[in-house]
Amino acid sequence: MSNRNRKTYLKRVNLTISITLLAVFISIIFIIPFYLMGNMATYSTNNLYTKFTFLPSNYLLENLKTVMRGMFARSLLNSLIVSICATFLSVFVSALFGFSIAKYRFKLNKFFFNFIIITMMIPTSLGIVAFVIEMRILGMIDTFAPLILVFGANSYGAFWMTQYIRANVPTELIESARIDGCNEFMIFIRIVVPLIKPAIFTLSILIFLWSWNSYLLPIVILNSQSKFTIPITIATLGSLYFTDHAARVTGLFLGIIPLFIIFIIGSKFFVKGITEGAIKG
Amino acid sequence: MKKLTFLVIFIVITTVIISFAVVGCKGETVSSETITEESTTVEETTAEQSETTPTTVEKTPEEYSATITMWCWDAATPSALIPYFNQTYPNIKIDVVAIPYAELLQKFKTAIASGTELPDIMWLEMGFRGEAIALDVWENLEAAPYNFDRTTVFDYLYPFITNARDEVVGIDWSSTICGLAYNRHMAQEYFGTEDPSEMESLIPDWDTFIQKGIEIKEKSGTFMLSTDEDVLAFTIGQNQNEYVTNGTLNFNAAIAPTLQMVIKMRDSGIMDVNDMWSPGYFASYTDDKHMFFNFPTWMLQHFITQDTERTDTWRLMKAPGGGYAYGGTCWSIPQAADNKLEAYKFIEWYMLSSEGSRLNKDISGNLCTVKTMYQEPDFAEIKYPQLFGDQNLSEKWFTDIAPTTKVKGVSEYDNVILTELRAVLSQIKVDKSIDFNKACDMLKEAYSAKLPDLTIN
Amino acid sequence: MFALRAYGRANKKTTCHDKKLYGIKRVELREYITSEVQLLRERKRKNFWPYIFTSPFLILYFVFLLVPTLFTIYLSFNKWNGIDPITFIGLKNYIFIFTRDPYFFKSILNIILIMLMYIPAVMVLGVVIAAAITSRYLKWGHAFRVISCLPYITMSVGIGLIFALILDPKMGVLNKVLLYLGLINEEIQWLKEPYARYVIVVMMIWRLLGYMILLYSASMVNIPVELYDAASIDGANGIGKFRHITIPLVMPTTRFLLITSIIAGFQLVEEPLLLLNGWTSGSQGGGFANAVKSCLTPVWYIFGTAFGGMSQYGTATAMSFILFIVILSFTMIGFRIFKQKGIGSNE
Repeated sequence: MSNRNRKTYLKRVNLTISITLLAVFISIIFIIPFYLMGNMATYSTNNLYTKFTFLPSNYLLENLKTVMRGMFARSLLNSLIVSICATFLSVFVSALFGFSIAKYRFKLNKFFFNFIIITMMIPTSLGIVAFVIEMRILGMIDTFAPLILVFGANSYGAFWMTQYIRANVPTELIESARIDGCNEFMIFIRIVVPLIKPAIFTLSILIFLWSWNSYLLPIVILNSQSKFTIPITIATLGSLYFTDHAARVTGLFLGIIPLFIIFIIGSKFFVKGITEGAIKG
Repeated sequence: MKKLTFLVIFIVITTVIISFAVVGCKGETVSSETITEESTTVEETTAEQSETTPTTVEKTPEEYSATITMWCWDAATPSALIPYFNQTYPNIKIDVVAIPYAELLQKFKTAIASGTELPDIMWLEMGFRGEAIALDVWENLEAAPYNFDRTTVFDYLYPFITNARDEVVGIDWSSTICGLAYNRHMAQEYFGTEDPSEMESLIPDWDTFIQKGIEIKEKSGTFMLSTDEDVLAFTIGQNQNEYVTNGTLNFNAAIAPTLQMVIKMRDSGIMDVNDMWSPGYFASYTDDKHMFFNFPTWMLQHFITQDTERTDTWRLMKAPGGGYAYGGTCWSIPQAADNKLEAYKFIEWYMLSSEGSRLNKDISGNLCTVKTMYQEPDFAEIKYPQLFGDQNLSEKWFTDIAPTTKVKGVSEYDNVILTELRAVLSQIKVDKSIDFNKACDMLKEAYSAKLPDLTIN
Repeated sequence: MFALRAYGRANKKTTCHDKKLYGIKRVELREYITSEVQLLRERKRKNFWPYIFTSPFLILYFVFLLVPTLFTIYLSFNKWNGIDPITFIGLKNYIFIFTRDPYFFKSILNIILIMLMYIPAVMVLGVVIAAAITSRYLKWGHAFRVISCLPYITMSVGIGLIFALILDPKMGVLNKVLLYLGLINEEIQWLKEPYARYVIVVMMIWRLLGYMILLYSASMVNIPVELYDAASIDGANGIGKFRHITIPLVMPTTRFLLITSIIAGFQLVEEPLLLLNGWTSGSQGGGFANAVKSCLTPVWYIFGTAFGGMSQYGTATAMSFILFIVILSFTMIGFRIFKQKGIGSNE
């Protein structure tokens, strides 16, 4: 008996070691470009091309100063406002939508579902002129409103929620809640939401990310420098004829850090969601 | 149930109506924006010429009061000079809005098409100058109340800043005359001299250039040129044929020579294949393997930042075939802007006044386009000892090269033509199997797709 | 009425003395009616909730996305360069695209080839790695998940810069390392033919892997651990468990990822654009100057037509519409692969 146990134990250890090594190797491949990027931030543009090696240089403080000069803190705040609002809005709207498509039978059910899939296929960037005209009529030019509200109607999010709820929320649970006299909205909040926590966190991270990196729309909608978001600010560091590449890379690096933090926090909740979900009642 | 179907139908109908209304009133929005100004200035009736100093107009500088918006891609450079401007015009505030260069024209065109607010000053770079001017939404700066006198600036500039009706619609903030900068140690070694005038007589035309280049390459592997973009710069710059006349694209006259020259240089081995602005290109300044560089006035900043460890390595000469221009930015005022006169005062101070020109030169390294400034000895002496040693660059650029520089006009097709040309060049420079005819075919195919309305000759 | 009759017959009320209607006592009739009405009311109540729930999404969509879409379709039948008035030209744009345009269909072919290379690769890697992370074999799997998402959360501008720096022929790290190791003799022009396409594929895999892992993890956490334990007891090894438990149970996610990857893949523009235009900040508005002909993607070409020099919004929108039809066809094929009866069937 103990022999057989030992064999399986060794086998498992081997497997663990080899998979871990593989993971470490792949991690290194992932991290190298970012290490290089961080390294670039420590060089001055003078030396960036000619003297770049794997070891950092000493120009980090200067680059930071250049970046900060360009209203970086302000755009950070702006990006945070836009992204946080967009995330809350989008997750809420998508979850509601997904819930109704997945669990209710009503006349337009199939039509709505096909509808969101079709909307994913149409690149709307070309309609930007009409969009700007519409925003002007609604008086929303140079405000954050269009940037936030446009994520409310995110088809990818709605699709993701729909299929996740379909797969992971048992209809019996809902039926029994109904018999117990719950009204529909309470069903949504008390039953469905706890069950789809991983999906909520995933979608929040994604929407935050997409709204943070959104580039073209803010450029066209916003007119005041004080309202610009991070991607625009970074793209304007330096000029056409003299692009301060090092400062720009530093700015990019700084711009990723909030995302990274949000991601780590979100992942922690994610893990919590895993353990909670595993002990399902 | 019925109520909800009704609601849905109602929403759909409203949206349809809105969208048609939106599309339908697009035509009106542009005209509705060219309303009579609510500008706060006094009606300008003086016909006096505004000279380089601002005090000869009726209003005193303090009385000009407004906040003008300027769309640009580099906020730092003008912002450095604004405090000085405000010493003369304390009540004109300037709101500098920096948009990334690649999106600037698009934002502007969207603003026009959608009827949103336009800036008071708009930067037009050569990359899209022709197209922007063809939009025909710019103020004529020679008319009242601006009364710009075009003889103030260099003659070669006129095709760059005038529109189809020969009205001046913008003023360049720096001159972009080009010469060839060369590594003087290499010149001494291979040509026996480092003096610019002697170099110019030793290399009177491009064929001689290529020949000497082949010899040099064989001897030591040194390239004459680092990038194909330099070749494009001087072939296009020196070619006086317009791209498009009367609906015909003059391929053979205006564009084919560039292809030919690049292929010649590629096949002779004297041209390296770096992409302009890539790390490889910057490294070629200092790797002692490249001898000549296209050198417009604004190139100084790049050399200054990249070539820091040596001194006095370069000299500037006139290129074989004469002077040409490459790049440049002008500031223009849209007709639909609100504070046009104040905007012009800023432009005037910044680029045409003595004070502004000096500050530009000292703080930003931009060399103005005003002729008379270069007759003032202290302004006209432009030396950068760590790069060019004792050579007086302004003499070379503005006294020697500028008068002989002729440029062709800008057109709305420039952007497309050059973009496609660069795309083809970037392929043929690395692929030696593409010969001249194949390259022409590739390019003509691209043009027929992007410019379907033109016949290609 | 038939129901009433049946109700009556079932209850066998046929005496004539009570005031009867269709052989049913009025009292029972009333009871029956009230109970039926109650049922109907409940069903009605249940049935308007979904409309309320879907309305926020639909309202936002109608306001913010429907108008641009309608405008796009409208423009495709017109000629417009952004400044002159819009002129109606019917189907001329479409005819032009089908007959004289040399690039559009090539670009569609390009993107299909590129997608065929990266989508299967990244999905397979994603599901395998996600399974490894959520299983007990991998320690610090959580950290790995975070690291693998780094490429996805970086702005494309940054990615483009990094890769252009690494892949620069003269100064780039990759060539330097390869030359040093003696594997190549001359610098490889990574960003030109014929390597550029493969560079893009590799970059897409690098970028999307974290995203795949994230989404697969989200659905894998809901697989009960007991299933795996039961399979172990029955003698299944790791690979067997993976094949027979994990894969089928994440099928919904696979379907989602495949469909959305196809849709998003066809619209790929940021990565190739920033990779190949890396250093030239000087191309105004989507110019496909450095687009190696094997890498031109449809939306890149559309952007160039719409926002580059000589904007042709009409042609560009017509191209988007054609692209939409192409995407629609492929998506429907994708649904059919998963044995759906067409878009939108329930699981």
